Amino acid sequence: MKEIEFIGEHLLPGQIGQLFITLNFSMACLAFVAYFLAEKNRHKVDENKAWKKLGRLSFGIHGVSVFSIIGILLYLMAQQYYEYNYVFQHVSDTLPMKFILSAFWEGQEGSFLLWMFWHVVLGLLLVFSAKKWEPAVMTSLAAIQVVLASMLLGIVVEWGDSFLKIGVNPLLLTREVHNFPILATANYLEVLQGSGLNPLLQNYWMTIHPPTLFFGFALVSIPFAYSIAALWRKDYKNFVKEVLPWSLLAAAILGTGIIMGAAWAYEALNFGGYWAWDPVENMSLVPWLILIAALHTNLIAKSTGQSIKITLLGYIFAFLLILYSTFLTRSGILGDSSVHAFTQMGLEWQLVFLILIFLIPSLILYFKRSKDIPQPKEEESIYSKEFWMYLGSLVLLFSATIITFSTSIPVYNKIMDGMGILLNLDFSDYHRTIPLDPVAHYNKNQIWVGILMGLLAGGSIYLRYLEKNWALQRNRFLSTIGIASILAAFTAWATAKELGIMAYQYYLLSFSSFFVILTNVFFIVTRAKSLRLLGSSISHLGFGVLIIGALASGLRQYPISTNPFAMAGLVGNLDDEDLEKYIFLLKNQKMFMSGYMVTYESDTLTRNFKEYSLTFNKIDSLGNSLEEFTLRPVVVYDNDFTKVAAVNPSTKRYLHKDIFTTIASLPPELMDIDKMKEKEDTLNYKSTKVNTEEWTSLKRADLILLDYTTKQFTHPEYTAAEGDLALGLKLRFTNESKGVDKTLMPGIVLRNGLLYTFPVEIHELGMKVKVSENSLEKILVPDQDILYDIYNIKERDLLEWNNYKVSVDKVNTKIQHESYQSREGDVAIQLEISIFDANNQYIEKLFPVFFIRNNQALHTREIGKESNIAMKLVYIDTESGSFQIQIGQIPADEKDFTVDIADNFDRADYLVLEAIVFPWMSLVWMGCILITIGLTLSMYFRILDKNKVKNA
Amino acid sequence: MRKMHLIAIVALLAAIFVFINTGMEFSKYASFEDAQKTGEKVKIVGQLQKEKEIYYNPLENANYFSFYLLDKNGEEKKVVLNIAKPQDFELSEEIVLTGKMEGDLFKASDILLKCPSKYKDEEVYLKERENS
Repeated sequence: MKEIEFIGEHLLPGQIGQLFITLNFSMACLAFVAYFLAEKNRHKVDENKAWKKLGRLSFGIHGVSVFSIIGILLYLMAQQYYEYNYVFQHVSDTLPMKFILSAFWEGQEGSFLLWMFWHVVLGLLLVFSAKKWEPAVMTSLAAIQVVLASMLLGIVVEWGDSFLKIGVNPLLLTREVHNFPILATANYLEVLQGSGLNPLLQNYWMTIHPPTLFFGFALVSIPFAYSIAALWRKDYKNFVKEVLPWSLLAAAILGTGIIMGAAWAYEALNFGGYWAWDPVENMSLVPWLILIAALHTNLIAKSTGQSIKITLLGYIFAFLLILYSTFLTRSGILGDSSVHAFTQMGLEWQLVFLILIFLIPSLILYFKRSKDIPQPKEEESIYSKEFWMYLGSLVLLFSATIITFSTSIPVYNKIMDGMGILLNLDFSDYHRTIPLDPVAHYNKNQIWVGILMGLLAGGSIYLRYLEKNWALQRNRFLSTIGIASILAAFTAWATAKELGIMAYQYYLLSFSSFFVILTNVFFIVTRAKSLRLLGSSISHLGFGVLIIGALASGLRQYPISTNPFAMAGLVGNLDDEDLEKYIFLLKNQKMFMSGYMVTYESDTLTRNFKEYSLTFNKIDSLGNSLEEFTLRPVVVYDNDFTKVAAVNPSTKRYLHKDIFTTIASLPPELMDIDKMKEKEDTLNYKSTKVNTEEWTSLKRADLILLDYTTKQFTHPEYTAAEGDLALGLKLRFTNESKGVDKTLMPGIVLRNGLLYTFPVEIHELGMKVKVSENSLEKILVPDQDILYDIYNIKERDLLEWNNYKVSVDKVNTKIQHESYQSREGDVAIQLEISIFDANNQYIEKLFPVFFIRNNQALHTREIGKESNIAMKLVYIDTESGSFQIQIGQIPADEKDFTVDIADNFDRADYLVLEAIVFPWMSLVWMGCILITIGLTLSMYFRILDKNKVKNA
Repeated sequence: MRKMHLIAIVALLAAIFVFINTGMEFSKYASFEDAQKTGEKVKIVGQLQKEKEIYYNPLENANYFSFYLLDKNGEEKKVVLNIAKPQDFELSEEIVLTGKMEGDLFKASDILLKCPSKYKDEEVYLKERENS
């Protein structure tokens, strides 16, 4: 095959990047080996020091490599170098720069880089802060980086027919990946356009959610690394102190990342809620739950010396489950069961390997050491705090296990297939599917987790570690818990009544939530003298608030996009399925719905985002306006504008409720371009003549031509360009019975030999009006069809011609004329000519232009609209100062224009709105924020404590 | 840690119970025939009959949507819902409905769609030819 010389490719950045990809991997390996040996030789001072130095150096170079690859990739994306596959797949010409980061981590390669980036940042922090733990902890971190760096290698190992793919290189060229015929042409870059960022992801959440989530993922590696280090060094006592701030930070950041995902789903996507139990949501929640469980056992271990084993295992499994979730989202195993799944890249086996390479050594190490892990012989008393905290951790682990169990269904199917292949049997009949109503499925079990969590977190706060004097403590404890229970029972009862909750499970859940809220508020008010003790109370309070918010907004959401007056009387008792939840809104027409007067005011298109402006006017029963606000739901079109890709809701927030609105439907032709063509085909156009003298009567309207223009044609979809020949007809339509009196301007434009029509739609009358193509001929009367008379006239001359009087008012050398654009070297003259009728009544003015360009004499042709006179200025006699003009009459019937009118046009100026009230939605977010604040506060004081101990 | 062990055993039993319970739930759906017989609210899973009429016209009624569904027994019925037509409805592979039979119609109150993923890498994207 002949080598093709491709034109315009930028290969240098790719080659430099390639160097860094290799360096990235090899330096991570070196850092791993060096730190490993540093730890192994920890008792030999010199060797330890030397290896540590090498470890730091190689980790540093590894970090520089990660930053460089990211920098190069971002540069290629910003430059829109489509010769690179990653750029081609994630960027397009129309993608605004602000989404370049989103496009960067949209793909697998970019998100692996983001993950590694955070590990590098954390690695640097550890180098400075971990002291004697540095070599052991950094060994694990470097090992993780080795595996992640291998994901970018892009090496294919072949033996015989089979091959193994190790990683995907982010710097591959488009023509190396795809074999479209166009890519085999030398100048393919001139025509190649990127596919761009999925329009669903084009919002600021995509800018902030992935980095936060991946920071959380990266942070979970640290407690893992510490756990491995603790087992390795057999130093459990210091471990429980050292690791605590890191796991608190990990829990806070990972939690924030998860909440951001929920907020995104609620605010920008139309999942109708903030948590859908999507497999990917689940698999980011599971490590967090395990982390929280391990955090609690860690606190027990720190205070009592119990539960070290479960703490170690918890931190190890939190990390392994991050890897497992990576496997689920990136291997393509979830198929289409999740909105989050990445496209498949053929890395399944490498991802399985990724889990095993950490799972097996960790477990071996753990079981080798498990006998040595210290554990007090004494059993914890059931009156002690640690007993109930331990139980709480078990509940969290239990919750994580059942979520993982259901989420892993596709994995069981795959394993079954694998066994089937080995046994030569077809097991596909045994396949199970993910529950089609996941929310009900997961809620059913998790509600009990919620109930237990609330009770445990609420009660255990008043217990003490290593309780020895329960008798002294008992009365105080029981009275506090008793009062809290009574109050909680009362508030839960009131809430249940208010929300109309029937099921006892929900009643129990609201009881336990109020219980945890009350006990923690008591505690904060009465016992906590300083911020130091507040962390856990604030988090637990947040948990209760979150559950109450979830209950209220989830169980009591109700549609307000209904018109109860219209429905009353029509139906007796309304069942669920009879309830009409959607309202039909016509543009500029007020519509009443459940206490609000709603008006669809306008819509504006920016790139592929169409924003609808809806005003809500809250009115009381007397019709008085109480409040007015505007909501702006958005419809997002595909990048190629053929279809609606998504709808983005718009929400009005109050403390006690959210009004959530989303566009449920639009006219079919606005949803799908094919439907627009279909509709156009069904339209029944009839030609009608219009003129300025008399009204034309049609079935649906009377119309008259007010004016026509070739100069000032305007239409929302038309942008004038040089060389256009445009005709706009200003038409007035009236229909008395419908109260319609509208003046509109349809038009037709000739551009580069192609005709474009710009129709107008009169939605109220169901009409669509186009200017007939032959109308353009009226202003394009061929010159040879006009009989011209020739005259020589001077300035201020008056000429009598046919029944007109023609006078030359002025000679202009500064020329403004729509069909003459001045160029350098032109010699040009314009006359200002007035036309009068026989009775000296002024009719109109004409402005013919004569010009010499490139030694050629040229002129314009003017047509008087009123007089139907055609006029040209063809020659100037500079000696006598006279102008030669040609003047002729356009045949009279040319005053009629033809328009094509369809009167079976279904109106398309409406939308169907869904508006839902979510009561107390603010509590969900408030609860989440409290949990995070509590965790952060605890972390802050743990770091302070740690430093104090060191300084003392 | 005897008390702990006891609790762990109880938790394990609870877990096994939940797992079995959950496992049973993974797929259990009624057919139109079941719905006809019981007259009660059921969950039905089936496939959209794409060649039959899918009707939604907001100009007439924004809260009326109908289509034909083939259930797992191969029986076909007209389904009516009081909602707007969901986005990308025509692309759905599997539909889960909650509702009951009313005469020969299946009146549904809730619908869940299983759609193939929308964004697949398509052909090469070419720049639009400039006209002017």
